[in-house]
This record gives sequence, structure tokens and C-alpha cells, in this order.
Amino acid sequence: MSAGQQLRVVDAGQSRPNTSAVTVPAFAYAFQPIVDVEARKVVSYEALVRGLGNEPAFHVIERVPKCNKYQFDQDSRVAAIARAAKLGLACDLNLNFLPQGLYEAPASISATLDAAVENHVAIERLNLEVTEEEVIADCAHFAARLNEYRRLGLKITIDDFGAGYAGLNLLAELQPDQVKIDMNLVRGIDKHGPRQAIVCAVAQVCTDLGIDVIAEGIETVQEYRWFADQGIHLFQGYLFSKPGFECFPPVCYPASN
Amino acid sequence: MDLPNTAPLIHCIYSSAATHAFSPEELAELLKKAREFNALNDLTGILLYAEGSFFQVLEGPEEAIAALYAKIENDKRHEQVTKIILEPIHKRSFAEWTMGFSNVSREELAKMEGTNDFFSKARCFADLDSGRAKKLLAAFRDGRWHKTAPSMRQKVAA
Repeated sequence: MSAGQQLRVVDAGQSRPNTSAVTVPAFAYAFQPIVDVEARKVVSYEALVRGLGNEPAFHVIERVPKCNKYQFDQDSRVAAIARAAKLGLACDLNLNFLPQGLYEAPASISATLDAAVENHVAIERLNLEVTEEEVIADCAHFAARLNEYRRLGLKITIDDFGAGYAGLNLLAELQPDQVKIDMNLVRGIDKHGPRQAIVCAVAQVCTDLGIDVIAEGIETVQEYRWFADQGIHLFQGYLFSKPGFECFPPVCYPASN
Repeated sequence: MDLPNTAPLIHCIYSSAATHAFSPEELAELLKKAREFNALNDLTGILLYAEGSFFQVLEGPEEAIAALYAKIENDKRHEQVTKIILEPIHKRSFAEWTMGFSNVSREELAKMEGTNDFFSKARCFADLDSGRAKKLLAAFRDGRWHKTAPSMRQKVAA
């Protein structure tokens, strides 16, 4: 996803985050399942920001004043947790996170954890997604800060992995719980040698470091089969389920051969 | 939310190459000493020995692990000591510290206290939470992170 769409998480329609006098657009969520095709179950939902009428995330985000960017990021996670809990969350919840928020909004993560406790969601269920691009600038410091929270059970996902310049180097400093393969590598991978070679290398590194690989943005059965043949079993994409507006949508498991 | 003020738990996962082929007797001795030391120091985890490679998951208080790992790195019985993961953990994956050997029969193992069934029934593996430790143990089981000392390689060639 583009940088403008990073703020995918966010609040239920009726509530407006309490950000003092500054206007923040009202927003809603869509939840997209991340599935384990071997266990045939939903292992997590990614919370995605939507407009009140299910408009795409950027409709909301472009209306957030710049100075409120990190506050919005923080508030959106709090609201996403409340909404997911209300929907009866019984698996993990993937929440987007702007790493810069660690400095710009110091309560950023603790507010997220407090929301989990308030809504009776175990912290081990929360998975913070940060994009590769956002982390590289200050990776070692970022890793050290995050480790304070990982102690509590919080999990870390590197989103859009393979999209930025850091690539595999990032994993020398920070070993996340999951990586999501960048969609640009996924598209048409079944017919594209260089993409296959890159993803095979990423998958091997992840196996060696105990990192789960999620193939995100899967749209065709051919793309899915290629990943499944590599032993990858975690998927997210239209082929399985579109994001459900204000709900946990049903999942379709394609035949594997 | 406040961070906990109890001693932070971490785990350290490494692999190494034995500098000589360990006999079952040597492994039994290593097992006995390590069990005592680790119990005293609040350390839990698993040590595996297969085809000249060691693979260990150690979990416990940060300081105890740092001190032990410094000793491990200087232990002459192995080389190529390779730190794979060192990170905080929310809770322990193992209730105690045990060892698994691929070169010791099930009958022999049954006689020794503190061994696990990783290389046979692998119940100790199946029971683990699906976290980092389990994934890395699976990688080692599948042949990843195996290290061989040059002296051992020559032996194999001869």
C-alpha cells in the first residue's frame, strides 16, 4: 500500500477520537482476515480505516490535520480494539502503527495496551504492523523501544516487506514475529521468475529466524498455489476475503490443486 | 499501562559445532551438570545434540542468561557459537531445562533424568506454544543451523 494509506486502522463510526479542539474526521473500520490455510482458520484480522460510508482509508487520512497524524494513529488503534472486541474477536488483531509515534505521541503504545486491557483483549493477541520503509531510519533504537512492549506479549509485523531499500538487512537488527510480503512481489508471481527468487530467499531467511511469512494481496488462485507450494500457509487477500465493513467477513478457502 | 518491574525474561537461541564426537557418557555428564546449574539459576529451555551440532534455547532472567552465554562462548567443547535470537519474552515456553540426543537410544534415554523426546516421539515439541522457540526448533529439526567442526568433517570423510 502507498504511504498515504498507512493509517488503515481506526475508530467506529459513532465515536470521534478525543483530540481536543482539532477536527478529526469520523471514521469506521473494515476488518480483513488473515487465514491459515493448513488449519483452515482465521488467525487474525487486520483493522483497516474506512470512511463512514466505507470509503477507502485515504479519504479519511487526507482530512487528518498533519499535526494530528500521530494522535490519530494512536486513537485509531484504541478504537479498533474496542470495535473488534465488540464483534467478538477470538483471534489476533493486526493494527497499523506509525513508528514515529513512539517519539511524537509517547503514550502511543501504552494507550493501545490500555485499550486491550479495558476491552478484555489479551495483549498477546495484538500485532503491530509497521512498514519496512518506516522502520529503517532508526532501526536499532526502534527495536530497543519495542522490546519493552514485546515483553508484555505484543507482537510485531513488518508490513510491505521487500518494498523498501532495507530489505533483508532490517532483519539483522529486528526479528519481528511476522513479515508480510509486499504486494508488488505477490502480483503475478506464478509467472515471474525474479519475484519467485526474491520471495524464496525471504521465506528461507524467515524460516531460519522463526518469523512467520504472510502473503498479502493474493487475488488469484495461481498466486495462491505458488505460495502454498513453497510451504507458506498464511494468507490475506481478496481471494480469501475482502475486508468486511464493520464486521468480520466470511472466508473462502480455494482448493489447493 | 505500566511495564512490569519483575526481572525481565529473555530467551537466547544459538547453535554451535561440537569439537569432538560426544559419547553418550559425556552427554550424560553434561546433562547432569547443566540441569543442576540451570535449576539454581532459574533457567529453563532445551539443548539438542545431533550429528555434531548443538542447538539450545535458554530462557530466564536477562542477567543470568548473559552470564551463562559468556561462559558458553568460551567453552572449548564446541566452536562456531552462533547467536540466532536474543529477545525479551512474555512468558517461558519450557517448564524446566532438558536435553535431547539423536544418537542415544530410547531405552538409554529413559534411564536418564532430564532428557526429552525431541528426536523420537517429539511430544515435547508438539506441546510447545507456537512461538519463536518452536519455529526455530522446527528449523533445526529440518536441518537448518547445523554446524560441523572441521575436525569432525575430516572424521566423516575418513
